[in-house]
Amino acid sequence: MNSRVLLEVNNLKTYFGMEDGVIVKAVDDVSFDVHEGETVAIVGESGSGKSVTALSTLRLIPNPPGEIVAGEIKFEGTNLLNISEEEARAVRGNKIAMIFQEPMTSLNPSISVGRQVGEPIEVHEKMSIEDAQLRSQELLAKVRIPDPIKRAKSYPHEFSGGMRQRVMIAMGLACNPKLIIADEPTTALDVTVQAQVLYLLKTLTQENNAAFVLITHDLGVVARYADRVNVMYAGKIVESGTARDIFNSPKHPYTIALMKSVPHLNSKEKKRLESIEGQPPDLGRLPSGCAFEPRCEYASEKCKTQRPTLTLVKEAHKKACWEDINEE
Amino acid sequence: MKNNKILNVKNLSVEYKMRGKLFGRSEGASLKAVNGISFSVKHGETLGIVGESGCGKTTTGLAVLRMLDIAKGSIEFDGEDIANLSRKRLRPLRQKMQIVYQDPFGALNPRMLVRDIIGEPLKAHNVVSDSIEYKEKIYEMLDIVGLSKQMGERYPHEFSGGQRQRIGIARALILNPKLVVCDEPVSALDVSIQAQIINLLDELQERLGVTYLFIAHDLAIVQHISHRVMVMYLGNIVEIAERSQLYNNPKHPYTKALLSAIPVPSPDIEANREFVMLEGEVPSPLDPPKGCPFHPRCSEARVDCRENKPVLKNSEGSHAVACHLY
Repeated sequence: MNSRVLLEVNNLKTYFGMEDGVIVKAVDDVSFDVHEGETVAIVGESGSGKSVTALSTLRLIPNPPGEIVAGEIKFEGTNLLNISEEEARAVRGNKIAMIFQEPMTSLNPSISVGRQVGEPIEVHEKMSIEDAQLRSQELLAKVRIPDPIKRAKSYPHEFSGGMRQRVMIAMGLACNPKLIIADEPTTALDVTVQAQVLYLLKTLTQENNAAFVLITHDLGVVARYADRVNVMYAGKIVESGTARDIFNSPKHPYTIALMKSVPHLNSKEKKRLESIEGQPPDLGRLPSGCAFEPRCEYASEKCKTQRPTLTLVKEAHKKACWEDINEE
Repeated sequence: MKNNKILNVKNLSVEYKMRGKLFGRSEGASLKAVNGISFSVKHGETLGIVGESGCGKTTTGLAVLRMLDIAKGSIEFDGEDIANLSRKRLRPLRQKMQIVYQDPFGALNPRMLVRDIIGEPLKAHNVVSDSIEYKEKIYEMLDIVGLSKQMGERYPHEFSGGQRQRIGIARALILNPKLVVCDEPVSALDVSIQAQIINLLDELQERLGVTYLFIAHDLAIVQHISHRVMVMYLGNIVEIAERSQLYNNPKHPYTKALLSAIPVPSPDIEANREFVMLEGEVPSPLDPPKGCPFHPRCSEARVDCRENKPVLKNSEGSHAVACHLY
């Protein structure tokens, strides 16, 4: 990999204080980086901390109850955690854009779509409303919304789910961001529309030469779009590597189990799925050792007491596991 | 010869009446959620129904259980036409047909103990003689779905999504039904938990010989659990076939696009796949297109497709498709 590092997250810890005094370690010592122009996936199940990681990157954690307690988030060399709120606002929606899961609730129902798409340009590029509108129509055309000049005057409720997500993408791309973070961008959409939207997102980020962080629970989507993958479990990255490393030779027991638990569309015969027994742990009461240990079939005594950290398997492929597992 | 079909649906239509003049529609307009479909299910088999939102898959499931009134057609269940039976006459039949819902959070009464939720069908149908038998049946069911006896003494909110779905399955199976409609039973669950529930449903079918109508939008899961798969679009069946036939040799352009839209969890396969990217979105069922319901999005549409609606016909053996190309 010879491209430049665009985003570097180091030892990020985001905790949430609960009413009963319990501290939920939603993101606990997470480090990863994103290079210019690449697509990095963060994959995990609910409660694994993938969305909180994304929100932390943009400093969008509601405080209270949440707080980034440690770590650094370096974007183009600047630690975003050290700058003022005003400076952070100049980055958000400008150099880094975020696309959320729910296109229904992320758009303002009482402002026309064209105006909303143009808003980031008005704010960040100090463009006049009229000019921003023209640019907004171009953007709507770019995300393949038919009849963009007319549709710019419509309101979000007049759009279908897929079209609304296109509007979100147009808004995200408005200021030509260098990094686009999409949190489950197509989970609420139908399969065929999901394919259209993701394809569009990937193509447009490539055209803009932007890097793309894709947060999802869908392993198929990861396999189709990601260059590199970070697998999260209970607030930590348990394995990271290229998509081929992760899918073809997973090394962490959780990743291995996850791969076996999803049915493959192309499998010839019907065979039993291998399920992961038990439940993900309560983030307020994590075991002192490895968080996956209670569900892990390879676990040893050491795993119960000592928490593994990410270590190198081979070039760029890392895992957080004490055991040496070789399964093909 | 004994009839080996548990369910034989002919020409089924279900309509929802639109009330009032909301959105400028005139009174009495109706939405055809299911539009004259015919299919059958054999004893002990799993028929998967797939399609996108609004295709009529859930309506089909509810209609064959007669949880909805139907507009037209016949539903032969276990040898008897139930399409027009009264509620009273349906009641004893309900023991033989059950449903597992999508949302394990909304489907269980939060104020009932889990054991009473599971046991309620026994009481409703008066099938147990005393409280000892009642309890025994519940314990047996808890055990079958992988929950402990003690868990029966708790309330639904104390359980995770996967466990709640087990409770829903226990309730559906306690009367030993012949047919269970599973409406998106795993789509609200995490990937690692989905596999547990799918395996459980598989085991129960082997053990109890129950027939499933498995409704889902996730083709990979449907393919995994089903013997045969039926693809629906805008209230119509567009293709129905044995599972490997459908996946290895899809015929309808919509089935092809649907299969192609689903990413396979393997970067090597994905890198070499051909895509059939579908344009546009599903039209409103209130204003369905003339001719083939799929023609506005179909890359192979011809004049014929715009004028005449294709009927479902067998192309080879049990593989049926509704498309003018075949």
